[in-house]
Amino acid sequence: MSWKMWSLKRSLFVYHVNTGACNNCDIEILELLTPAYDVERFGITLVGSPRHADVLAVTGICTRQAAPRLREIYQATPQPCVVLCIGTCALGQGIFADTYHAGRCVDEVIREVDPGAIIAYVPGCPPKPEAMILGVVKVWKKLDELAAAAKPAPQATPVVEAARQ
Amino acid sequence: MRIAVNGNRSVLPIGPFHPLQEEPECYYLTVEGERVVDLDVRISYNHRGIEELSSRRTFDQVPYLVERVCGICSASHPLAYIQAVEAICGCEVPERAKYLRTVVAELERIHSHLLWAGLAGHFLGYNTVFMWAWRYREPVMALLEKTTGNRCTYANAKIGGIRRDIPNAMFEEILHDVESIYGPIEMLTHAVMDDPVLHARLTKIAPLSNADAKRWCVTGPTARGSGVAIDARRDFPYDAYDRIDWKMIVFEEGDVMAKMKVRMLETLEAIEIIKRALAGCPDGAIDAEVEQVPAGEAIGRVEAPRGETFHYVRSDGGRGPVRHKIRAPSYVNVPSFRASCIGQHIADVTIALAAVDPCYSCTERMAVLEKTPAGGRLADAEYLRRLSVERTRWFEKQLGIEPFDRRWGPRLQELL
Amino acid sequence: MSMNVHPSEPTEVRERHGFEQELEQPLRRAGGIRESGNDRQATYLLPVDRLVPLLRTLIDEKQGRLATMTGIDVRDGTELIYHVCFDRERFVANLKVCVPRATDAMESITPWLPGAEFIEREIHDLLGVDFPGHPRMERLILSDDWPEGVYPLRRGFRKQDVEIAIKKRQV
Repeated sequence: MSWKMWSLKRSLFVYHVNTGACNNCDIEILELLTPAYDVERFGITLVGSPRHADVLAVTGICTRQAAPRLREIYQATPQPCVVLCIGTCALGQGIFADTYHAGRCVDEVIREVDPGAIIAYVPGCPPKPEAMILGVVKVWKKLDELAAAAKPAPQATPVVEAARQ
Repeated sequence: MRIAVNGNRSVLPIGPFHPLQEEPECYYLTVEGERVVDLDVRISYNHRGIEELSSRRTFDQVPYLVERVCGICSASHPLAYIQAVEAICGCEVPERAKYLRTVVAELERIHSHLLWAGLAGHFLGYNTVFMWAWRYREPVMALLEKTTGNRCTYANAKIGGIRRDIPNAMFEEILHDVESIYGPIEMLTHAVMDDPVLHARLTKIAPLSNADAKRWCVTGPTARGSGVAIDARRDFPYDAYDRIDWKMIVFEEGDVMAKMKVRMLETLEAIEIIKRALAGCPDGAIDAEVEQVPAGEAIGRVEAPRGETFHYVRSDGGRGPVRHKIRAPSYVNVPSFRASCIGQHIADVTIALAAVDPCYSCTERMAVLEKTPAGGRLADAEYLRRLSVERTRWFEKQLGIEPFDRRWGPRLQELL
Repeated sequence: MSMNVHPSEPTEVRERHGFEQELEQPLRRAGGIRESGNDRQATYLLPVDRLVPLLRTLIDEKQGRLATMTGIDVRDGTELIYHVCFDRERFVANLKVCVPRATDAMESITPWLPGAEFIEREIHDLLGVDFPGHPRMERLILSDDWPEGVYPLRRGFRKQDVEIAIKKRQV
């Protein structure tokens, strides 16, 4: 398990990915940074690269053009990470479900790459900022649970063992 | 697209999934030294085939679809479509519906321009502007939710009128809320328009000449910042715009500063329009109750915050449109980058590209992470934004002026 | 910095029917027939080879502005509608031509009107119409892996045609 797990209780790094959306969900995500919601005071930060991310906040229907990029980004994100599908489009393509320019939706594309991926869903068109915060908090709790489950039992080092004998 | 390094020229793709840009962008700049010599754009990441979807919907279902073309121009797309269908029907929309459509459209203009102002502030290193502008978007979003049921994608307009009335009892609350934000927005407008660093930084940057603005067929603040006095609210009057007195703001210079001024002053003007629309709004029906759309074809034009939204609809008398063409304003504004950005310094590119206020999902943008042959990333929007911020700092030092955030930060804290 | 604040009523508002009458002469010379419309917008059908010179006249001499172009697949070919706005005159002229299926090509206007570049590229992507003379006819709207020859706005297009065409290419 990576050191990232141990530090989760202090901060949560979110990387935002747009796979073909109308902007609504994306703007509401930005809304979270502004004084009205100010999620940075809880330690939730948007980061500029998937390599630093704990959470991939994904919006959009995953168009044909976006699908390979989404796979690349997921693979570039160190594990463990949670994919947070935000908005009806990211859940199941919503009103655009039968468009010619989209194949499989976000969670199916992620599972092609990683069948065991942890995926969370925030429905809405767009979800209210409060709903997104609730989604992030639930994801955070889930990551904390995983961290607690993964924590190894304390083990004596060989030097200490030698000293005891 | 590959990065080519050819002598002094290199191609920079710009646009990571930047945290403070609601959609990543995918522009390819060819730079020579530090000057842009060419610009290309790859769009298709957000293409959702909406025109094709529309031809498989009924007339009444289409507004729900097209208000999701773009979340920020969410009122203008359904309005333009509905206008086209109403022209085919030849129906008369009730007066009350016209006034209330106007109110929602102007509320959207305010929140869209403030959104832009915030992002522009971020690109320039003025985080106070970002926080200020987006803080005062909140009451507008709350008003939109109170009046239409949603913060965005309002679904308030329908063919022949509006779906849900805004009762007169609510007018006082709307007036109170917009008047309460007028002061802070006016203060922000003057802080930005009178700022000597911004004047030095943005004047003569990425100018789009009047002649180029016409050749590239631009619309909206991009056109009005270059002396092209066009506005669909005046040139193709719809809803209550020919019943209310309002002003069109035009600047001649065509640079980033001019476009910024157009948007800031339009925000204040939008508040005035809302006040006048509510004052003049008559009682009465809100829906012409159109039963059937006959065969025919027509266009609809609406002035979205970014410019003219243009829709064309053809009907054969059936259940839905046979053909529905959607042209968002950014579709004609964005290509004008070739005229305004060539020759510019790469530190100015971020703000120059933002000055056109591209609604990315209207024109379908997404970023690509590119690696150089050597393995590192050549450039991205964050790198260019940092260059832009450094340039602002340089101007501050040259003029001996404290950073904007330090000058205005405490003032904003007081307001908040 | 000079600012103009324009009142919402322009100082010269031409009488609407008057302006459409002004357009009648160049339209008649180009063989145009008025199909439908009202006092603010009208649709004219023109022979395909007469459109571009007329468009030049309307844009260069009458200060028209090309808003966009619509392409529609019809039985005999592709209809192209050039939407020209006359902002001061508050009128929109929709100029319609039918590009025959045999040629599927229309002279590009991008060389003299750069604003048409994206508009023509989009029609090429979605309907398969060629625009000879276009300086940068590259894929614009559809994905990198979209197969050639499959046009989503053509009649009879089905979503499964895309995968079928991709598989055929790989074989």
